[in-house]
This record gives sequence, structure tokens and C-alpha cells, in this order.
Amino acid sequence: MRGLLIPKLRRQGLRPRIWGWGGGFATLLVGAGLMVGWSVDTLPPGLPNRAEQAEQEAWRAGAAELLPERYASFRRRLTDTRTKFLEERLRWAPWQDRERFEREFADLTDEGTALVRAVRASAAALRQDTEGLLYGQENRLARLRDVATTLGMQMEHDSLASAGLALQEARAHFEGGHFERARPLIESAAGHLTRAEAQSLDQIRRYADGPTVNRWGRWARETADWSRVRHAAAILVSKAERRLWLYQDGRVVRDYAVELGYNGLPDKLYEGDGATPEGRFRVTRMKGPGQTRFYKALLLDYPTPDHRRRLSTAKEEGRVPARKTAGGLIEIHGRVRGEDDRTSGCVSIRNEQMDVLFEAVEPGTPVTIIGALTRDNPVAQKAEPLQRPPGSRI
Amino acid sequence: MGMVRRLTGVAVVLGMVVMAAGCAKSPDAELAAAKNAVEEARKGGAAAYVAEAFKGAADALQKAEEEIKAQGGRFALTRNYDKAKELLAKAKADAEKAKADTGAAKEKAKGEAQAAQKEAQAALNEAKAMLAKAPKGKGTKADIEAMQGDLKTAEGMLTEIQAALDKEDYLGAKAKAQSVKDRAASVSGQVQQAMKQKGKARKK
Repeated sequence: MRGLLIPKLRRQGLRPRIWGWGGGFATLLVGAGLMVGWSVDTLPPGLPNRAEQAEQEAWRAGAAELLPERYASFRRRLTDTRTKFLEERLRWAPWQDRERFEREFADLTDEGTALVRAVRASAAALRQDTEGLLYGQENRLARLRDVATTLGMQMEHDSLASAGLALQEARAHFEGGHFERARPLIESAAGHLTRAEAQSLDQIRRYADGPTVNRWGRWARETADWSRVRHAAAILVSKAERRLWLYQDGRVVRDYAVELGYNGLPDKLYEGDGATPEGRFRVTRMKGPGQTRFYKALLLDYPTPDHRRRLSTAKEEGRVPARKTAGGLIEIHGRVRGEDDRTSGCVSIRNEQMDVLFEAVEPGTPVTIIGALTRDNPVAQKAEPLQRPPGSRI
Repeated sequence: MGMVRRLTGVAVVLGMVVMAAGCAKSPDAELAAAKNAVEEARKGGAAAYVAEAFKGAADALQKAEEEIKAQGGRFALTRNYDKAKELLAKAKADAEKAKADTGAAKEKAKGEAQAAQKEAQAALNEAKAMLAKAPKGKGTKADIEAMQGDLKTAEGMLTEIQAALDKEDYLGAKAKAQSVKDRAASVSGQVQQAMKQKGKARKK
């Protein structure tokens, strides 16, 4: 048939046309095959979804802030893999490698899940750490305020106020979950507190100092001895214990609680420092009702030459302004109803106790004011926590 | 005649190729518009105020860029930018929404910070007034001075609050205002306590 047809067609001049149509048909078939190959996709478009969800979850957990390098590395890998995946999807279907991308995205999902876990652990650790720091500094501030209140100490108010404000601001950020904002404020507060602590320690370290406390002990014994030898009254005041003891014939016959200056613990240096002076004084004048607004008062011979010397030295060293004076009018006195019992540097007792003292003493009676009787005194005990290294946690 | 037909066929095929190439043109204008929208949202503070929405827009833009890059590597006749265009449209719409939402979120934060600032100022004024009425005495003089110092430090913080507001740091301004308010309230509380004690002492 073929042998008969072709010569016939050839004879009719149709051969080139058949080849032309045949070639065109074949080209169309190949083209269609290729197009079908390109349009068919063996890779599911949602293959990266789980890895992308893990990335989103990690970001929500704070990966960009908490583990920035690891997160950036994960994102880079995800982007690279996704780009290759896109390229792969555009290849001719029979050449696409589905298994490879399933494996790679599964790995990425695992990595993302591990990243989420790590970020959450890191966030919890940061929260715990920040809370610890904040709590530590808040406690430190409370302890300092407690020391200041119970010991009647004047602290560096600017430092305490600044620390207080910084900690309150840090607390507001912490409660809002903004730990990165809270931490610098906590550090700032710690700096203020360190300054306040250093200043406080300067004031109260003497109460734990052996030679100083021994000297005070010797003064106390000598006062009692004087009373015993002279068969007369003598007064001993201890600032740490906040007690006043009235001696008669060397024996304690009265024991009263006292209030001191508002900054009573340091040895008085100048007028207006609020400190109660330490030393061996004498009653120089007895003021009865009408002669003082504090019911009755025993005026002491402060400042002594020793106090004046200390003030001169402090001025020379620039610790006290040159215009400051030692002050005076240091008394043991009664109280005014409705007013604070603390004083500007005097020793105050209840009015009925003042009556007893007034009967027992006379001008010239010795009055010894010491810091503490023993090294194991309330001030030294309160000062102990302040000796810890700055910033140490409680 | 045959030659004419062949030439016509070639012309038709060429025309189709040109049309196909024209349809698969890279969506440069859409890309630029989406990039611009994302950048505008970023500048407006969307990353801070509507972080999740902003990330959605930025991620869509990134995916669109990846898609465009992948399509660009294909044979011209087979390029298809439909997916990229879809992603770019999403990125642009999300970024524009994020920008609009940022404005609203900022206004809300600003309002809260300003309210906190007013409350802090009021608490400070109240504490000052209380302190002026505080019981005076030799011992309380130091306490009053200390509290005055506290209030002065807190008052200094008002400047910082305003500075934070001016910088649009509403979160910082609010926290600072809260600390001032707490401090002032603490001073008022201490004065009230002292006044109560004084009242009791008078009754004795």
C-alpha cells in the first residue's frame, strides 16, 4: 500500500507537504510534552509551611531579641531552602527531587521547634534573673531604709531617692515584660545604693571597731567608778542601746530609754548635722520649767576642746565647710507633747524621768555619752548585712 | 504562495512569543510599591507597635522577592509572576494596614502615657501640699527635708517623662510616670501617718 501510495503522491507533487505537516505535528507533540512536564508539579507548595510556622512561633517567643544569632541563622537557612525549593518547583516535573525537600523542610521544622524551646527557656531564665536582680536591689533599698529608720541615721537622700525611683520604674517595665528596659534601671539603682551604703558604713563601722568600743567601755567603767568613789550621781548614755543609766554610789539606780538626734549615730562634728556628741561631759546648768520648752533640761559642756579639734581637722581636710561651727546647747531634756521625740543632737527622755534626774543630779555631775557598751551591739548587728559585697543577692 | 504561508506562520508564532514574553514581565512596579509600603510602615514604628502585622507584611515581601528571583531564572516563555504579584499585593495591603494600625496604637499609648503624666503631676502636687502640713519638730525636720528631697528628685523625673513623650517613647514615659506617682503617694502616706500619730499624741 505504502509502496503504491508514495510514488503516487510523489507523482502528484504532495510529498513535501506531508513532511511539512508531519514535522509540525511532531514538534507540537514534543512542545506539549514539555509544557505538560513544566506545568505538572510533583512538589506540594505547602511543603515549607511547618518550618515557617516554627519560625513564626520562635519570633513570637522573642527569638530576635533573646537568641538573635541563632534566629538569624535559622531564618537564613529557611530562606535559602525556600529559594531552592521554588527553583526546584519550576524544573521539568520528572527532574524534581521531592524527597530531598521533604527531608530538608523536616530538618528545618525540627530546628525551628528546638529554637522555640531554647527561646522559651532563655526568656524564662531572663525573667527569673531580672526578677532576682530587681528583688535583690529592692531588698537592699528596704534594708538601707530600715537601717536608717531603726538606727536613726541620716542617709544620702539623693541616692536613696534616685534608687527608689529607678527601682519603681524598673518594676513597671518588669511587670510589662520589658526586661531589657528594666535591667539598666536596676543597675543604675544598684550604683545609687552602693554610694548610700558606703556612706552609711562610714557612719556605723565604728560600732563594730574593737579599739573604739573598748575606749567607750573604759569611759563607762570610769563613770561608774567616779560615782562609786565620790558617792555621787553620774549619768551614762549609750547610743547603740538607746539607754540612759543613772548611777548612785557606782550602782545603776535608773535605766531609761532615750531618743537621740535625728542623725544620732555619728559623733557630732558641727552644728546642724543632727548627730549626738560622744564624750565625757559635765552638767553646766539645770533648766527648770519656764527656762526651756522641753519641760526640764540639763545643759552639757559641749563642745569640749576635743570636739573643737576634730572640727578643725575636718575643715582642714575639706570634709566640712569652713563656715561651720561646733554648735552647742546639747542637753538631756524632756519632751513636748505632739512633737517628734527625736532631737537635733540632744538626748530626750520622758518628762517624769526628767523629774527623777533633776532630783538626782547637780551642776558638775558627769554625763558620759558613748557609742556602745560592747561590740555585740544593735548597730553593729544592723550594719552586718551592709558589709556584704555591693549587689550581692539576698 | 508556499513561501508566503510559511512566512505568515513564522510571524504568527513570533507574535505569540512576544505576547507571552509581554505577559510574563517582572512585576517591578508592584515590587517597588510593596517595598515602599513596608518601609513606610517601618518608619512609622509598626515594628514596635504592631509587630506581628508588620512581620507578616515583611515576610510576604521577602517571599515575593524569592519568587521573582526564581521566576527570573526560568526560560522567558515559561515565566509566571502571578504568585509573586499575589504576594506583593498582600505585602502592600498588610503594610498599609500595619501603618494605619500603628497610628491608632501610638495614639492609644500616647494617651495612656499622657494620662499617667497627669496623674504623676497630681500625686506630686498632693504630696507637696501634704508635706507643707506635716507636723514640725526637731526630729521631724530631717524627715521633712528627706521627703522634700524625694519629691525634688521625683519632680526632676517629670522632665524625663516629657522628654520620653517628645521622643514618642510612650512605654518609657508611662513607667517613669508610674514611679513618680508611687513615690509621691509614699510621701503622702508617710505624712498622713505622722499626722495620725500626732493626733493620737494630742488626745493622750
